[in-house]
Amino acid sequence: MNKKTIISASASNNTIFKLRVLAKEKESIRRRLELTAKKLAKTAKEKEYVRRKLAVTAEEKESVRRKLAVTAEALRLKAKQLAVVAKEKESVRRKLALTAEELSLKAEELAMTIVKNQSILASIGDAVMACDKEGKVILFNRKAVTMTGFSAKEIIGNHYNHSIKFIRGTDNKPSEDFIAEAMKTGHKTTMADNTLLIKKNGSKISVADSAEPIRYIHGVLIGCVVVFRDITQEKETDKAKSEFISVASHQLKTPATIVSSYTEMLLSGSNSVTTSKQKEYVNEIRSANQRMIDIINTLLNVSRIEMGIFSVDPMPIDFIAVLKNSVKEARANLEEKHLILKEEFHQLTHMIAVDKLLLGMVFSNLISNSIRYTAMGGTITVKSLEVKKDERINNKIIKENSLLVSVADNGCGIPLNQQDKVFTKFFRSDNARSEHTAGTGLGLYIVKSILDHIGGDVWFLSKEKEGSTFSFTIPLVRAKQI
Amino acid sequence: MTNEKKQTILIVEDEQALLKAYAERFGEEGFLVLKASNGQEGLDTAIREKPDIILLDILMPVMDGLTMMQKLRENKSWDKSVPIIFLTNLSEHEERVMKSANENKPAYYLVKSDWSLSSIVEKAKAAVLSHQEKEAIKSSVLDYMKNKS
Repeated sequence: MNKKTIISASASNNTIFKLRVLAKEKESIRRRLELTAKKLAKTAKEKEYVRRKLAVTAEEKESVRRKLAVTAEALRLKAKQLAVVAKEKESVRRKLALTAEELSLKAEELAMTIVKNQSILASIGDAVMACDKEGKVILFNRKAVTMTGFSAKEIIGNHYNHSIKFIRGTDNKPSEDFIAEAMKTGHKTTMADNTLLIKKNGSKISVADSAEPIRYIHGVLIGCVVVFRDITQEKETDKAKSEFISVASHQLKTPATIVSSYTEMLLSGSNSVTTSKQKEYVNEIRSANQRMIDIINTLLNVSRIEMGIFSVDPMPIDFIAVLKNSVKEARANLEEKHLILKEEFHQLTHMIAVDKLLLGMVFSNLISNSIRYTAMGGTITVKSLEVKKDERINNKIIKENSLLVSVADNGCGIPLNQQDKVFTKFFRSDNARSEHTAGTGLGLYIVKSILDHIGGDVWFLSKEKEGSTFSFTIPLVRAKQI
Repeated sequence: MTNEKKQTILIVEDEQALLKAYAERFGEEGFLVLKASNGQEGLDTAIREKPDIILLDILMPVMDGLTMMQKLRENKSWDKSVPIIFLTNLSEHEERVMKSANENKPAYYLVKSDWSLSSIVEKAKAAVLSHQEKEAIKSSVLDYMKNKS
């Protein structure tokens, strides 16, 4: 190019010059461009630096941001957790508060119940003692304290028989342990009649008691409640009543005897009545008086039974003679009603010891009932036989080898719905009452009382309008003495 | 009566109506009757009159029948073996009376209201008779012994 430029210069110096100036200008522009480029490069470098720096900062920022973000999240989470915990705590606190309130309420209720129970137990008129299943006393109320003379301190925690002693009034021997019996059987037991309690000072009082087992849920036995009551006063009242009957009866007997003596004198002897009408009237007086004497004797027997002064004197006897004597005594009444009496007396293989008077009284009572409640022309069958243990006689299983005596009639019988009351004092069945005005309702009560005393038994089979069969047994082996 | 001589009976009873009834009936039956209204009177009469039999009530004022019998049996001036029939309605003390009657034989115990007048008379006659028989045997034995010696 340079060669080309020289040829053209020869052509024109001006053009060369112009070219030179242009070159120069070009150079200057190039230099300026170069400078600018350099400057630009520098700026770019600076920019890059700044960019880089900025980038680093951004990174750092991002990292920080991220870090911050994480922390924030964590904080948020924590806050949430805390809130939950706080909630829970609040709920627990509330619950606790509630429970505490309930507890204090319950405690109050409980305290009330205890106070109530204690005051109820304390003010109960009967003595109350409770023991656990080992027999250790856990409760002894105020009445029990005053009745026995023992303080609750002396009793509670010890076995019930440690201090409290019950004895039989009949022989002063310890009575059967009815408390142990109740706990053993799980059934309520009561003390035998005539039980005495020995007080701390040694004196004795008449008591009536019962023991009732305490059952927990599912019937588990956890102890026993014993209730006992001072019946001294009742006994005294009973005795006074019986004594009154006794005294009154004795007083009545004398005038009755006078009447019977004089009616007898009017019927026989040198000053007897003369006309048959007179005789008839006096005979009426005599028979009414005799009835009165019989009633007085019955009342006396009842009072003797109830006062416990019924003397029992068991002796080896010819019991058939006793039975025959009762039949003989009833002969007049039997004939009056044209009753047929069948006797089937069988001897025993063993001797029997029994109180003659009492046996006669029992048998006579049964015969006179049969006579009274059997219509004219009826039949009465009296039997005696030996019966063995476990034998079944007249619908009853015999408890031990005994003498059995029965009196059967085809009389009016006892209504079924009244049969359970037959041996109760003063009981008379409706049909007996309406058809026969005479009768105290004491005969069978006496029969039962006597047999209870001598260890015998009495029962009956009866159907209204068909008749009754009364049977009693007296054990062969023992002769109970009271 | 087997003997020609009248038998003497002492009736001790505080109830006048009964005393009269017994006395009349025994009189009719041929007895010579002595009456007393309490144990003390009865005891005095018995010792003085020496009856053949005594009918004795138990519950009486001044002295009761059991005490009277005891005093009579202890008395040395008179035969202790006179038969005594207790006539009472005092069934409460039966045992005590029976025991006492047993210890002081011959003595019998009857409940008034259970016995008719005629049966009481029979009892009394039988008691006198059995007592007299015993006495007769006793005296004949004594006579025999006396004759022998």
